[in-house]
Amino acid sequence: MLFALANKSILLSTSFFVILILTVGIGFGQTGDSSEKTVIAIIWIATALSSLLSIKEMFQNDFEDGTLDFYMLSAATLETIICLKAFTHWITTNLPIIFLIPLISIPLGITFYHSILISLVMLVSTPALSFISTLGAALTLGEKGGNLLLSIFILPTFLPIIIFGMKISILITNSIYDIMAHLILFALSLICLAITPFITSAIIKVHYS
Amino acid sequence: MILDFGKYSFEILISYLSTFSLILILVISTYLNSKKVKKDLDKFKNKDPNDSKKSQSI
Amino acid sequence: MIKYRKNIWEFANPNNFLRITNKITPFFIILTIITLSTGIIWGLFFTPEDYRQGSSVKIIYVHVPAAFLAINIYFMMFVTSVIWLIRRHHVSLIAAKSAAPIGFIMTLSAILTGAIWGKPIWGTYWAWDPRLTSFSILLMFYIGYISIWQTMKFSDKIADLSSWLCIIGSIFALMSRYAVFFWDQGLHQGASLSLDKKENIDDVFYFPLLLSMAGFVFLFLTLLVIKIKTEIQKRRLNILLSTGNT
Repeated sequence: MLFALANKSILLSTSFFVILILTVGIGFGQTGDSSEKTVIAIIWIATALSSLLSIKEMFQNDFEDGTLDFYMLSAATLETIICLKAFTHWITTNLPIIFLIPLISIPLGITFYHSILISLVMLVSTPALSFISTLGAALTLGEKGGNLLLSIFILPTFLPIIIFGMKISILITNSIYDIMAHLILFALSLICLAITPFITSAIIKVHYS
Repeated sequence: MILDFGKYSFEILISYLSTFSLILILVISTYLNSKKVKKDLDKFKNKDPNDSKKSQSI
Repeated sequence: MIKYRKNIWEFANPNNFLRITNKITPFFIILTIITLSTGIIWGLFFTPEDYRQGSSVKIIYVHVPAAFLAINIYFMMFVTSVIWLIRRHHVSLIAAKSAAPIGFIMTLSAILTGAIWGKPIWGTYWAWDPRLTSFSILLMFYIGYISIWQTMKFSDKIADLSSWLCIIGSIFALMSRYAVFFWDQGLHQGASLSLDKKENIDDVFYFPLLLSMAGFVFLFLTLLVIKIKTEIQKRRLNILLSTGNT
């Protein structure tokens, strides 16, 4: 956390999120009709993009300066370290965004109650995004300028989460709200927690074979 | 006219044409690629025919 | 002389593969031409019109085979990638690599013909219907898989990475499919070809459709075999060039 603060990566990702939301909001503001549903779609896409931007740093520095070699040799399994990496990624990029959503959705025209509910939806579903991101970070490890490639690989894999999250957020704006919806998204996050560390560690081992 | 399918003949013809032109691109590119590689391989083999041991094993 | 039982892994030897496919390829080409042309001509000229959709039902003879191949080629790529990761057979990897462009083209043509068909029947070229959404997601995963081969230089590392990408893609394509089908079934009708259902399409449409599907499958097999052969020869050439005996 402190390291991330020192790296200013929290500031960077949150300011990217705010600027993206404001730019798109201003663009839509010119059309005169910004419905709640469009705004929610913008929020989801902005969250996905801002977590996409910081994926590259997840393993790249450790891979270049050899820290990853020590992780491979250390007593802790690689899967544990990947889980911790994903967790820190979630804390540093997604958690600040979740706190920002109630604030930023007021000028965009979402009611305060709805925005609280939507940020709760985000709270249970964004861990899945962080865990999926580790896959892309491992795939493009050591690739110079692999940012474009990474977004080609990773954005489609965000889709199940985005589809589910959008449907549930739309249900919230229609005032049909059920705690089950949160449980489904939480289940998706747990599935990603269960599957992705093993795949990621297998991919990282490919780079060392 | 043999290619007249009533009300929707334009849609039918366009969809068949687009599909088969896409497939044709695939077929032609595959064919040209295989021809080119075969030619290169033959040229290489003719250059040193006494080196048969190496060209048989991968 | 001991005659041992043949098993499927013998095809994994590139020399065996080349020897066998050299014999088979002409038959595949002939079969493709026969089944595809009879299926398409039968479907286009000798089938009646549907009582609801009019003559536009004739698009089914390219739409359904292309969609069928698009899904099953990705499944085949998944299986061959897993075989490469477990048993390290190069032919399997090359099969996955050469199947990807064919699958991409098939997905594209399924989407195109579907859009053309959708305009007169649904009144719109494109709707975010569950089936259309899952096909566009499939297209994205094809693009991702092809782009990893196009942008990086060939090595065993890239082969492993692409196989893992294919596996990740299959997992998430399946998840997205269930995500979009979770709430509604959409505009698109259900599968018109299944073995156990009673509500299949009529026999008049069924047999030409089966023929043209067989034609598309044979077309895929022919292209796949030729592409694999080309790739094996190309790699052989590269190895010969790099050993430096020019």
